[in-house]
Amino acid sequence: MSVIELYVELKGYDATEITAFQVLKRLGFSELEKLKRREFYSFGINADAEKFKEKISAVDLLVNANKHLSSFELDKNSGAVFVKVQNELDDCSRLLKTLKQRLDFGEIESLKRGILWGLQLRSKNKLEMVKQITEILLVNKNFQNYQIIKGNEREK
Amino acid sequence: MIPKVVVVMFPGLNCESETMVALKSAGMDARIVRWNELDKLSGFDGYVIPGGWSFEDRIRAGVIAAKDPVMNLIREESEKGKPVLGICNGAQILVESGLIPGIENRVQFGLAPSKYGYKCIWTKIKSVNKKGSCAFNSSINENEIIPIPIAHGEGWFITKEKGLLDDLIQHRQVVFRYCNQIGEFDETFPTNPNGSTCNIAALSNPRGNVVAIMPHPERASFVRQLPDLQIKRGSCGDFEKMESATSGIKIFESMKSFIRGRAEK
Repeated sequence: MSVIELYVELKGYDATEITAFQVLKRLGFSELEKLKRREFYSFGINADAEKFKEKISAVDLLVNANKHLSSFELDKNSGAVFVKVQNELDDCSRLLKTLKQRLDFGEIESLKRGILWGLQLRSKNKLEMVKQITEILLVNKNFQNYQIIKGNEREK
Repeated sequence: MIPKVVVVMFPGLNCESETMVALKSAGMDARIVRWNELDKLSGFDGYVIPGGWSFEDRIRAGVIAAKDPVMNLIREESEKGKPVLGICNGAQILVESGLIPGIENRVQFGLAPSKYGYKCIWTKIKSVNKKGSCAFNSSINENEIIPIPIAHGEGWFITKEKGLLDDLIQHRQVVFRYCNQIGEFDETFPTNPNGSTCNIAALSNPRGNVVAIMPHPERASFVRQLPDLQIKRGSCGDFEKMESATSGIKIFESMKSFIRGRAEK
C-alpha cells in the first residue's frame, strides 16, 4: 500500500489563516513571519500512484479548481516548519464512503484528513517555538493530535 | 439589591439580546458590552458569555475569543468569586480559556465536534447536584429535569486527563447531564445529542462560580419558547401567560440569588 498526500489551499484570502497569524502576533510570537493553512488528505492506496493522482485531481469533491490550489508535495525548500493537526475522533468514514461508492475510488484503503499549518519563523529554536505555538493555539490535545514536520525530519 | 450583570459580546456571537431579556426577566440589571470595551467591563456583579460563532469558529470553536485580553479580566473577576456563565459558544470559550474545569491554569477539556454533526433540537437535562452547590442551581432541585434546546456542532465534552472526570463527578463539578424523559442517562442519540462524555451538558469550576453550559437556557425561559403545544395552547391569546417563566429561567434566577448572597456576606 502506498500513501499519497493531497494538500489543498484557498486561492484567495484565508480568513482563518489571517486571524491565527494576528492572534499569534498579539500573543507575543513576533518571530513568526508567515503562516499558511492548508487542508490535507492522506490516502492509503492499492494502485498506481500517478494514475491515482490524476484521478483524484479530476473530481471536484476535495478540490474546486475555481477557488482552490492543490498539490501532492510539501514545499520543503521554503524554510517553513509544518504542523499536521488531526481530529482523533474523525474516522473520515462518510468521506471515504462517498469516494468509494459514489466516485468509484475502490483503490483507497485508508483515509486521514486534517489541517496542515506552515510556519516561517526567524527564531533560532524553530522547533521549540512551533511546538509552543501549536499547543497554545492550533491544537486542543483533548481530542486532537499533531505532528511537526521539518524537511524530511519528523518529530512527534 | 438589583444585581448588575453584563453580557460580553464577541464578534460573531448572536444570542446576546435574548440572553439579556432572560437576565432582566430574572430580576437583574443586564447590559451588553463589547469585548473590546475593556474599560466598561469591570465592576459588574456577574458575567455571561452568550452563544453564537465567535470569530466564525476559526481554528476551533471559541479558541480565538479565549485568547483575547478580555478573558484575563473575566478570569480576575471570577477569582473574586463573581459568577460567570458561558452558554454554548460561551461555554466553548470558557473551556478553551482553561476557566473550565479550572483545576489547573490550563486547558484540560475540549468541546469536540459532535458525533452526530450540527443539531438544533430540544433535549432534557437533569440537575445532578444539591441545590446551591454552584452559582447557577440554587433555584433547581436535585434530580429536576429541565427541557432545553441545543444548537451546536461542537459540544462533546471530552478530556484525555486520567482521573479528571472522576474528580469532577466526585467534587460535584458536573452540574447538568443530558437525560431522557424519565431522567435516565441514556448515552444514545437523541438523549445524548452530541456524544458527550458521561452525558455532560454543563461543567463548573471547583468553586462553583463559573459554569459552561452547552444548551441554551435563554431559549427555554418563557412559555412562548416551548415546543410543547399542549402548554402553549392553554396560553394562546394570553400575552401574560405566553410571557410567563419556565424552567430555563431558574438558571438565571439562581445567578441572581448567588449574587445577592455574596453581597450579604
